[in-house]
Amino acid sequence: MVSSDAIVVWLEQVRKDDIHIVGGKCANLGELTAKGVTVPPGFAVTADAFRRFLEETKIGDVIQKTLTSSNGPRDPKQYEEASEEIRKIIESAPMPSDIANEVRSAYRDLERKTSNPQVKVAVRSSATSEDLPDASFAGQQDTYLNVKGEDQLVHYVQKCWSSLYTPRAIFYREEKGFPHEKVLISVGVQKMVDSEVSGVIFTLDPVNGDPSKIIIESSWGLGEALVAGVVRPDRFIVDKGTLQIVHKEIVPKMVEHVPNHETGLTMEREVPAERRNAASLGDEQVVELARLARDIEDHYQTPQDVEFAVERSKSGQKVYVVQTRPETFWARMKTPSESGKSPVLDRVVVVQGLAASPGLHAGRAKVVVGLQDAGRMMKEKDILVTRMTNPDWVPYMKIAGAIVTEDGGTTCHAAIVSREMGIPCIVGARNATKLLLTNKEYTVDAKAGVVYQGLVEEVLRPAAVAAQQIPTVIPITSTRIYVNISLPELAEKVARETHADGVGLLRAEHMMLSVGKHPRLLIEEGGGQKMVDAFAEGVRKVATPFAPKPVVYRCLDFKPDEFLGLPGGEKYERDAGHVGPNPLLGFRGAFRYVKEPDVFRLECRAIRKVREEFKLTNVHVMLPFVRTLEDFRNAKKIMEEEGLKRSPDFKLWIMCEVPATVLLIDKFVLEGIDGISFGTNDLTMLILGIDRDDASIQEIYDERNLAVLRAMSHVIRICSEHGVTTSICGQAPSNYPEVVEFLVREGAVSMSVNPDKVIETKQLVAGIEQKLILEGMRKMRENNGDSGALKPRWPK
Amino acid sequence: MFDDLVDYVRENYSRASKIVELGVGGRIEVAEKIKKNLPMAEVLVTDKDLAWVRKHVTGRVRAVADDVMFPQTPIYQNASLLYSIHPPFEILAPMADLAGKIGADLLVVPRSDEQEMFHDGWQKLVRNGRTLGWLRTSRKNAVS
Repeated sequence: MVSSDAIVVWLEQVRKDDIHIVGGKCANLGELTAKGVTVPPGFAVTADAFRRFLEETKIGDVIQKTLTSSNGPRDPKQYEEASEEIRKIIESAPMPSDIANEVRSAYRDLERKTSNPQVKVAVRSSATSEDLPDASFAGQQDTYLNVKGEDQLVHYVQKCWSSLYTPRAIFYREEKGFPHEKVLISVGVQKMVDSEVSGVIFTLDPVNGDPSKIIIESSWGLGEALVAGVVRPDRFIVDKGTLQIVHKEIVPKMVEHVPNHETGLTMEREVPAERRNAASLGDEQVVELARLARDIEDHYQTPQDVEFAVERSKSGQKVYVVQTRPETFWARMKTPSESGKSPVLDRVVVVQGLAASPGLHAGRAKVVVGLQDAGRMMKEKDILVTRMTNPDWVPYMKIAGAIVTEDGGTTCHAAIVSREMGIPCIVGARNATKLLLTNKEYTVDAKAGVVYQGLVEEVLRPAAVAAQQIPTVIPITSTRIYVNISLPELAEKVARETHADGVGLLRAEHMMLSVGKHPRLLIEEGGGQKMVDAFAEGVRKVATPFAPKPVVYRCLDFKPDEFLGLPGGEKYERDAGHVGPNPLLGFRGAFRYVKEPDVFRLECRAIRKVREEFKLTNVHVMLPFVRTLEDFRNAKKIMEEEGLKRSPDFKLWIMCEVPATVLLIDKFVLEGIDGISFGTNDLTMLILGIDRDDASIQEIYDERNLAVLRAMSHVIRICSEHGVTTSICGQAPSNYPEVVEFLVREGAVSMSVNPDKVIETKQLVAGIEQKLILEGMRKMRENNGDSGALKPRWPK
Repeated sequence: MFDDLVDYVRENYSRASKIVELGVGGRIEVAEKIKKNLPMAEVLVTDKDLAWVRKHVTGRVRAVADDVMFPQTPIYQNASLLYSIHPPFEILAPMADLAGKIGADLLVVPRSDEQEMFHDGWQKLVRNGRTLGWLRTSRKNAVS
């Protein structure tokens, strides 16, 4: 039991409830030490020591006065001035001798404990205001590494204290009306870990909140480089249930932070070539770290964000947990529902499987291994979770509100019986019996094949239920309905939910934005491979869930001004003279690929990698904004040099969006294309002579203009004659049903629309196709001398 | 770059207490320019890329990790304006939902080939004869 007026306490003495004494960071480290987790040895200078410092030096009042003299809560400059003044006061005031003596004495004890005279320590602030819901915004107090000797330590403890008064922290407390004098700060002092590798573990996926995954990011050297974002870390995804590594991303790590033994500070240096591309963690270490993080999460009963460091010594490698804290982003979404039921975590997917019997249900899960358990556990409307059912299970299936099985496909016992009974059912939900917990609440969305954590009100809304009761019929159409995709991360969901026949337009522009640099700058910095890898990964994310359905990748079609937002954009676009008066008509499309073949070659290599290394041969390529036959010929030649040659297995499409392509479509066909896709936005602009960005003439911009329709009709006819596929990926079919009818009638082979329009377009196209069949039959009858009217045929 | 946007925000949201850029990606300059023009407003930028956010957390503009597909609404509360530059079209609907939920206006500057997706409820903003972007006004939030 720690006394609340102690000046110094050792980490092993504190527990998680001692936040008011040692702050959240140290309390957690103490708790972990007690649990047997290896944390760097050390102690905490308590919050009470800081309170006494303020009282005994009487600078608390001075601080208050400084703050109240800062006029107006909305002048950032005044916050900065107040902060500077207060920090100076705190750092220059002499520390009361009894406090300083205890800090010094504890440091000497640490020297003895670690058998390391002048042991280097990390000095970190540990705020006591963790109870503020948004404390993580206000926090960010200072950390000092490689502190050596008693004098330095006393100095840096005071610096940590003063970091409680950064402009941002002052502003935040003022905004929230939180009294400054109530917020105290403790300081953690721990032996520095000379990290060979360091990293962060999230016990859920921080991007989407998926609690079934553990994410580990690691890099060479001290953790600073990783936290500051100066290196891209290796990334490992581990299945929380089985502790199997499900995804591994080893990236080149160019720099690392290491201690500078001369200055006592840290420095950035290049990673030696032999380690640069090597994995910073071995598979066994990854699994061990995942297990450790899972144990820590279990202990705290909430997802954690764990920082770790691996130190190499003569006796081998040692893993230290440097810090653990609750994962706040997703945890904060847990708010008590209005109905007073259990907390709701909005749309966190726990397991996924095949939707075997559509429907929605929310309730408590019962994870049942054998029939006997079923009898004991199952109550009316519970969610039955098991490996697989057989006929003996039917009595319990009848009372279930929903059924989730680990095994099976859409024709298994559970699927058939639940469909007969009208009970929502998901089958083939991997690890469901491990990931779903008995008596926990979940929402089963057996339309999407997903189980969400908690009661997801959005899913259960009456409107959604009503809509669910009328099953959506997705007709099969002769005209293929593809989908447009910009964000590869969403492809899996889009594939699952839309039932699209493929991807008719995979845009590359957002992959480029994710890479975060102008491609020419990347090449200049020797980072071309980074672009190849990032694009290949983006395309893989789309091609995998859609395979074997086709995915048509459209090469990068930024207009020059759209590159300007990227680092390097000004230099390689504006300064290079590419940003003309109308970028839509400027340095873009196939012309650009020929002028800048090195950038285009990177894209080609990415596609080749996807097709050859990832074996995703459903990926094809489309060239945008093709103006001349010569540009097309030259771009195609570059592709061939990069190993992308047309074959029955690899298709080359062009966008048809320039009038020249329309007028010369027969020549392009002979030149060698497998498909065209209309880009109606640019085609309309160029046929009608309307600058799409000029607001004063927009009223006559209309993709349904007869001239545009005639152009499309001509191209479809020529292409059909030559067996070249025709499609559209512009906005017209999404906006105008009459354009859809026009294209179907003209014989377009496919059309590509936004995800939210796929099912609607399929239904629309199915209706049009039926109408065409009917019209055809009538015509046949007319030709045979019949009236053409269809009469009922009565049984004889 | 995007100076017209900055001017528009300065002229129309001079009394805003909070403005948020969604999915900021690698370009924080626009938010910084807005902050410079409207020093009284809190200007936040969000991105789902945690590493990126950590890198940019110390500027005049605060950076927060958040995925607009699954937003944490407390981050955006009291914002008068949410804006986004060249967002992928897939996040338009979640952005509009979020803006509606918190009662903020939403201004989107789309890429040129994603201009045609803005219909009901969107108002085209024109500046110097060119299309600046598209605005969805919240009824609660009268533009000053």
